[in-house]
Amino acid sequence: MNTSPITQWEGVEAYFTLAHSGFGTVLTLIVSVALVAGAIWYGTHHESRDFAKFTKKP
Amino acid sequence: MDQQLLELGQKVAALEASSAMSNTVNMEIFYWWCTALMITIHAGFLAYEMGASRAKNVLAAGTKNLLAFAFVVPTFFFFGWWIYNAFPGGFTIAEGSESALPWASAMGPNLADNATGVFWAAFALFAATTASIMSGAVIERIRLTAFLVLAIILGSVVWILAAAWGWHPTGWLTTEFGFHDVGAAGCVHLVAGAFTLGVLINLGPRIGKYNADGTPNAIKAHSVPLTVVGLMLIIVGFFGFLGGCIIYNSGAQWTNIFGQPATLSAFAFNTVMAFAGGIIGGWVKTRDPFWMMSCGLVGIISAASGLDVWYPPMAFIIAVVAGFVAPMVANAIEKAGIDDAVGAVAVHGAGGAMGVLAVGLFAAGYPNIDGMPPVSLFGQLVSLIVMAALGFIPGYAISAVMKSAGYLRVPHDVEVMGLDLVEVPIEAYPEGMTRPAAPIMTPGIETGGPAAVPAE
Repeated sequence: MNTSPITQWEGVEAYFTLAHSGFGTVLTLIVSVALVAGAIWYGTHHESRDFAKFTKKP
Repeated sequence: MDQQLLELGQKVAALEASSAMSNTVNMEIFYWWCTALMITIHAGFLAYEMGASRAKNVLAAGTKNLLAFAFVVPTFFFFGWWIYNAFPGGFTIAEGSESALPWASAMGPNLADNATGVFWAAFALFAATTASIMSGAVIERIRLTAFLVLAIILGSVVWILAAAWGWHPTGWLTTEFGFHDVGAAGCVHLVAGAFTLGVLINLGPRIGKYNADGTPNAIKAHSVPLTVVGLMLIIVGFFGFLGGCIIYNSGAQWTNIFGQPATLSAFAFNTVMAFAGGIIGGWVKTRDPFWMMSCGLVGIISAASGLDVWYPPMAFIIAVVAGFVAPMVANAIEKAGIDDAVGAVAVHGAGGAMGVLAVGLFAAGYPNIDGMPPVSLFGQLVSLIVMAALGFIPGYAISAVMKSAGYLRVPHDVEVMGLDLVEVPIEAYPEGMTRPAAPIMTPGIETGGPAAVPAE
C-alpha cells in the first residue's frame, strides 16, 4: 500500500502518511479513538470480572 | 561595483535565512527538552504515589499513574489541543481554531510548521500533569477505569479550557480582567486541586481512615523514602514545566504567555528561591521530610503566577508562608472527613490559589499589552473563583454520577484484600514483604465500614 502523500521534496509542507487523503486521515483517527474507548471498555470488563471473583457472595 | 553589491545582497539574504532557520530550530530544541524534563514529573508522581500506597496497593497505584499518562496524551491530541485554540473567548469557537483539529495539516509532520508539534507536546505533558495531580489523592480505593475517564476529562478537557480562558494570549480572563498567571498556578494546579476535591467528596475515605467518632487515623505510606525521592523528581521536572511556560521568540526577547516581556533568568531566580522557601515553611510547620518536599513544591506553585515579576526575596517569602500554610490546609481537609492520601488538594489546590492571589496582592498595577487591563487584586480574585469552579463542578458532578452507577469505587472486599492481588498479575515485593491481606481480613473486621479497620 502506497500511503506517501508526496513523490518529491520541492515545495513540500505536510508530508505525514495519508496527508493527501482526507478519508484516510479521518479513518486512522477514528481507529485511534476506537482503540482508546475500546481499551477502557476492555479494562472495565476485566475489572468487573476480577471484582466478582474476589468479592464474597452475600 | 553593481555585481559586488548584488553578491553582498545575496550573502546577506542567505545569512538572514540561515539565522532565521537557526532560531526556529533553537526554539524547537528548547521546547523539546522542556518536554523531556517534564517526563521527570511523571517519574516523580509514579514514585511518590507508589511510595504513599500501602504494600498491598503499590503496583495498582503505579499502573493507574502510568495509564493516566497513556490515556491523556492521545485524547489531548483528539480534542484537547483544539479546545485550547477554540475557546479563549469563553464558549464561542475562535476563528482559526480549525488548524488545531486532529486532521489538520499542522497536526503532523509539516516542513512549513516547526512550532505546533513541540507546543502540542509540551501542553500534552501539562495535561498529563493535571491528571497525575488527581491520581495520588484517590489511591487505594478508586476503580481504575473510572479514574481513567476522570483523568481524560480533567487532562484533556477541563484544565485546557481553563488554560484557554486564563493562560492564553487572548484568554478572556486576561483581556477582561488582566489575569496574570505565567506559571499556570491557576489552570493547572488550582483546577486540578479543585477537580480532585470534587472527586474525593464522592469517592469517600479509605477503609480505616476514620474512626466511628470521625477522628482520622494515619494510613502510613509503605515507603516514605520513595515518596521523598519522587517529590524531588517532580521538582526537577518543574524546570521543564516552567520553561515551557515562557515563549521563545526567534531573534527577540522572551515573552510570557500573555505577550509581556520576560526573561528566563527571572524564572530561574524565583523558582529556586521559592523552592527553598517552601521547604523552610514546611520544615518549620511539620519537621516531616514528606511535607518538607511537598511544601517545596507548594513554594514553587505559590510563586508561579508571578515568576516573571517577583523580586526574589518576595518569591521566597510567599513560598515560606505557603509552605507553612499548606499542611494546615491538609489537616483541615482531613478533619472535614475528606481522605486526600497525598495532600494534593492542599499542595496544588491551595498552593495554586495562593499563587494567583499573591499576584493580586503584591503585583497589582503591572501593565498588560494591547490595551488589556493591568494586573489587579479584583481580576485575580475573579479568575481564582472561575478556575476553582471550573475544576470543582465537573469533578464533583461526574464522580457523583459514577458513584450513583456503582462505578466509582472498588468493592469493599477488594479494597480490604488490596488492589494488587486483584488487578495486577505480578507482585511488588515477592521476597521481602507480604501483602497484609490476612490480618485485615480477620473476623469481625472484614464486614466493617470505613471505621472498622484501624490504620496500619
